[in-house]
Amino acid sequence: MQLISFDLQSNFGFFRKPETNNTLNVSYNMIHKPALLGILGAIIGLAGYRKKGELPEYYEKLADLKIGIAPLDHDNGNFSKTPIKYSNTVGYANKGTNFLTEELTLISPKYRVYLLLDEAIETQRRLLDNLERGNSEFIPYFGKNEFTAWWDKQSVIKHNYTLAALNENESVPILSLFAKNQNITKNSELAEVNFLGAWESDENPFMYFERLPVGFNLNLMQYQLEEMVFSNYEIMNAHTLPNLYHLLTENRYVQLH
Amino acid sequence: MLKDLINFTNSLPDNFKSLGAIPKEGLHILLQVDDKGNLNTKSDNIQFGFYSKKLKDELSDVLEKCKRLQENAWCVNTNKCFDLPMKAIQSCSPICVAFKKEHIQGGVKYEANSEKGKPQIQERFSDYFDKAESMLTEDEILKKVFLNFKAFFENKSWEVVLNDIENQRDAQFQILSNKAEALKERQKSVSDKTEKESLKQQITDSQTQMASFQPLTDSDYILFYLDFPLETYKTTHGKYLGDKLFNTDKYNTDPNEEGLIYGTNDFQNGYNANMPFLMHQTATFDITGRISNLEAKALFEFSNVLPRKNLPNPLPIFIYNEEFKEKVIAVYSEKRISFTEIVKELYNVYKDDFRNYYLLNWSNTQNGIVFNDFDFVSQFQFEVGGTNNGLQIENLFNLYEDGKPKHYPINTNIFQLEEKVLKYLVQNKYHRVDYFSDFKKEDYESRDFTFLSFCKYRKAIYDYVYKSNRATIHGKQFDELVFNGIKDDLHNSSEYGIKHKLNIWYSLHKYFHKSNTKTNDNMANKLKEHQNFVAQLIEETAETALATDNDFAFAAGQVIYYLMNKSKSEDNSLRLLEPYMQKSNCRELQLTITKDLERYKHENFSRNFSKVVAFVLAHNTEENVKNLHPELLSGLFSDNQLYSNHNKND
Repeated sequence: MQLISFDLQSNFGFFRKPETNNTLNVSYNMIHKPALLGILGAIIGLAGYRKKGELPEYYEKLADLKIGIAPLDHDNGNFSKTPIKYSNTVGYANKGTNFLTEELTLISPKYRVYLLLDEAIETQRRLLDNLERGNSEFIPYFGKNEFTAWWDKQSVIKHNYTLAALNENESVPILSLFAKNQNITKNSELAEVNFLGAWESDENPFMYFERLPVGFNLNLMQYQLEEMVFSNYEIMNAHTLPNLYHLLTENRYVQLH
Repeated sequence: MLKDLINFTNSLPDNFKSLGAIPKEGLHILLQVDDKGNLNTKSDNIQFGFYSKKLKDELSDVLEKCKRLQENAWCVNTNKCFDLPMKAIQSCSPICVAFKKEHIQGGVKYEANSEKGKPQIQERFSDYFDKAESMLTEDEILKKVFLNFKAFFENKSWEVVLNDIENQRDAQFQILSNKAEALKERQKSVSDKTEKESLKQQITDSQTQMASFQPLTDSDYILFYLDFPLETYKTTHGKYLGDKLFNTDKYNTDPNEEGLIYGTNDFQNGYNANMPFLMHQTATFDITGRISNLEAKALFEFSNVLPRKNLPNPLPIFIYNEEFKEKVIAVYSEKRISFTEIVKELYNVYKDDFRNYYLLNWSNTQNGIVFNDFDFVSQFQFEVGGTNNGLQIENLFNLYEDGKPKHYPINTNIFQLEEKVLKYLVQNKYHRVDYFSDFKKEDYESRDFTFLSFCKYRKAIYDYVYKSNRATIHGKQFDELVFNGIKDDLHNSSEYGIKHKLNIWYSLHKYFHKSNTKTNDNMANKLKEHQNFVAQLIEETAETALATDNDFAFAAGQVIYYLMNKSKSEDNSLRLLEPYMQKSNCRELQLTITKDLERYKHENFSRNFSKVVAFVLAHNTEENVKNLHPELLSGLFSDNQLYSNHNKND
């Protein structure tokens, strides 16, 4: 198993929140797992949506892949956004009426993606190979095909890692987004930021919250959402977080889900 | 987004949700029901009230009651009323019927229907009641009274009641009208001033009273309610809302064991079959997500609360700190308050709580509520330039106001910075900035570059101020904002505007450039350095070999200003600077200066000028002169050192 990271970026991004579509359409600020799986699928040439009632090939082959996401060049976790207005007047789209819409689009989104890859699995081996060579079968994009995404092959890093083994109440820095709502069975305390910890950075301390898709609810066929957190504070009770990996060289942690 | 809005709505108290609600304009008629479920249609037992937005009086008890009943008897939107496709009866309750006067005899729509052979409202009441029947509960009295209410409309008894009320109102109107006429006649015959005033007041009072009894117009509603408790209205309306709160009931799930139904959201959402562009043609799913009926109800309430403007715009929706959320909502309940005022009121005490909120900006348009922006804010930063220091704009270019040197107050918080600096740099000719409206070029007459700044940076300024997104405006953007404004001031010959903007630029240069350069350069000191350099040129102590391009540009500005003052032309406007500002090459700039020197060779030049112009004409640089415009303009508009003993007549 290899734990790798690479930096994925675009000039713009729009990861549509499906819940509204009148006037302003809003985007997730963070790329989320289902969208990222689509991009990874594009990199190795897996098919996307084809037919009602059928899951796309990339989701079927990559859904179990463990991934972690961290924003780069952000402002307290946030990317700048700008509203872009579109008018669509083509007949096939609108049956004769004009379609006007506005999308709150991310400006220069950039993410560090962590992947736990099993080279024994062919698709994952191919993915690693393509990432390292900077190759992609289809053009990856951030939500809309005009927002082409790319990565620099030099940004692909193989990390020395181990599954985190933390003591109770030990505060650790977590590089990636992590899920806030954990299914705690034995531990009564949730992971939370350590406000009392010493602050020795030039950055402002912050916490960023976003309810993000982590997969699909296959019964209702809609996104399954989970509350995610990104913070530069150290995190208390991190031992309660599942799938936390220790990056040995950086002495930092990432959660892969 | 929806989850946060739902949680927010659920945290609002019920009385707050109905705060600011107003009755529909028109005649509200409350019919009494006896214990056996019979309608009492005797005139004495029927209560009614007329509401118009023009009436400033407080609502009568009847109207107050009717307002609450109406809220729980109205259709979600006219596409979801029971009277389709005509959409004239807009109540959706078995115990309330409401329509506009235009639909009854004498009304515009009534006439139109007659001409087109369409069924009149009278013929559609039975359909309405057939649909409303499913809203009934098991209450036997309610069932019985429903049948009586249905008969009341089907056998046209409602017309008798309405006529009777109209006659009563008409009589009142006539009495008041006669009274007003009599008072007017009397007023004409009276000469005493005090009595005249008193009569005038009485006439006004009568006219105000008359407004309550004015004849109904076509656009007025006529609303019949049965006098049942509010709870009954809520229960029956709840049944209506059960599926109507969803965009369509096509995708509704069966109720689960808790009675929850999941369906398609109708809030800020349309699944328009005429727009296949909105439909995902090859996806696994038909619809992208469902919400429960309880969530749909909360969103419906939220969409009703927003237009009443009891909530600030932009609206901060705090998501985690329950205690602080309650405090903020308590403030909303007390008074109408803006986001700026909330911050000013609560920030000092609850500084650490101003974090982790969604900021919603919306507009109330003809088509309903439109969202402009919805974004997460990790931490709000109120202070600027450090807690104690603030940002001081210095009067470096010697501006005067009311005969005294202009004084700039210190900007200690982000809203002062917004008002005095950021908005000032993008405002229109009415001194206004709207962050989300459509662009109107006509409001920026002869301020083309400012309009450009406005189009390019208004969202950035909004994010910078209200969302503490400090990445949106850095040095580069700040410089562009300032110098776009200066270009317009040059065009409009506003020397005051240029000097004011230069004061802002020099004073705040470090603040906006700090995160990029991390240097401690203070631009105000730079200006002094340039001035010292020119002074040294005059004293012939300057080391010209070490002079920078910035020194050159500043000195050139001084020279150009001096030369411009030699012009005897009637046009002394700053347009004379245009030839200089268009040059991008050092040599071309020097040639332009040389031409002007030749033009004014008959004039006397000071010795100071000769020394400085010698340096300016000898300097050589490959730098694009347009990049040196800040220093060139500084030289132009700072005190000119080239006059001997500062004598401008020299």
